[in-house]
Amino acid sequence: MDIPVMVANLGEATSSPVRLLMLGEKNEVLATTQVPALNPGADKTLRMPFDYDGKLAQLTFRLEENHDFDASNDSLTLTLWGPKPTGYVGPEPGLPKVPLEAEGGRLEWSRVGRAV
Amino acid sequence: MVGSRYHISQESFLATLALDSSGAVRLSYVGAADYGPDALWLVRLADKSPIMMPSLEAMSRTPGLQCNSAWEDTRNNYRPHGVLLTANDVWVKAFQNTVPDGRYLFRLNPHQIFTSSGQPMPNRVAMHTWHMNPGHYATSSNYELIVRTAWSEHYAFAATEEEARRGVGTYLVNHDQPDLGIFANATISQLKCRSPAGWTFR
Repeated sequence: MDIPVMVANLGEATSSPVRLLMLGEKNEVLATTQVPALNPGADKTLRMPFDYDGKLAQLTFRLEENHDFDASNDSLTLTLWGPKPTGYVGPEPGLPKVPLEAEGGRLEWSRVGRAV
Repeated sequence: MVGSRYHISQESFLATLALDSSGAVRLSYVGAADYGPDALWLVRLADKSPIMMPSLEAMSRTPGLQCNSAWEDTRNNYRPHGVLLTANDVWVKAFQNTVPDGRYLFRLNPHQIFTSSGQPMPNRVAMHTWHMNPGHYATSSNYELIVRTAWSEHYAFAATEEEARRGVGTYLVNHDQPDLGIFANATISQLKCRSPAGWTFR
């Protein structure tokens, strides 16, 4: 199948042609395509061929050797599926039905799940 | 200064009569610009050099909202849900029965965004979601409001022009550089496949 990815030029000058990479979890290159020069405000949707093996948990798109105003939007990571659970996934056994309770005036957050 | 306003023509310009310091009558008027995005020129006779005036239409061109959604876990741990993005209480995008992932770009109408010729104006961006409970930390999101302006005014006191230009930059302003970004707008609506475990990728 092909994955459509939108590339837009949010800047104030015409961009240079660059290569768009599709990377796997270990930064291995899965596919590439060429992004043409885009005028300010213009965008283009590119299609990247993707042969999903059912195991890849993360997919990253990255503009290769791109130097522009904001580097933080030069890559995009999509989350796929994790491995199928092999055991019980859920709250710890023995938790009370009403998990939030004040103990000494302080809520015991750690009882209801992951600490943040 | 004493002034009186006269609408000589509502469509063409707004004129003002005033007395200057020497008691002479001065005529000023504001008229539509011959060029530019709905810009206005202020003419204060007898000085015939017009002054370009900021206007909402001219200030804000093709604004955009860049939203980012990130997860703490893999896709199979999230149930499809609804997400509504608003900018100043105007609907921007409604995701229905899906799991938004990645960065999205939404173009806004200039009249939906508050701008000014000087300091940035406050705008209100909201993300409403319908899933789980109000206290979850399963997803994280942020946004960036991007406004392209024809000009902006900043006041600065400095020894040189270069120093003044450096001093007024308190927030990111792109004057002349390209800025390519990758977005998942097309991905979420078209990428559908079946995972090995039976979950649907939306």
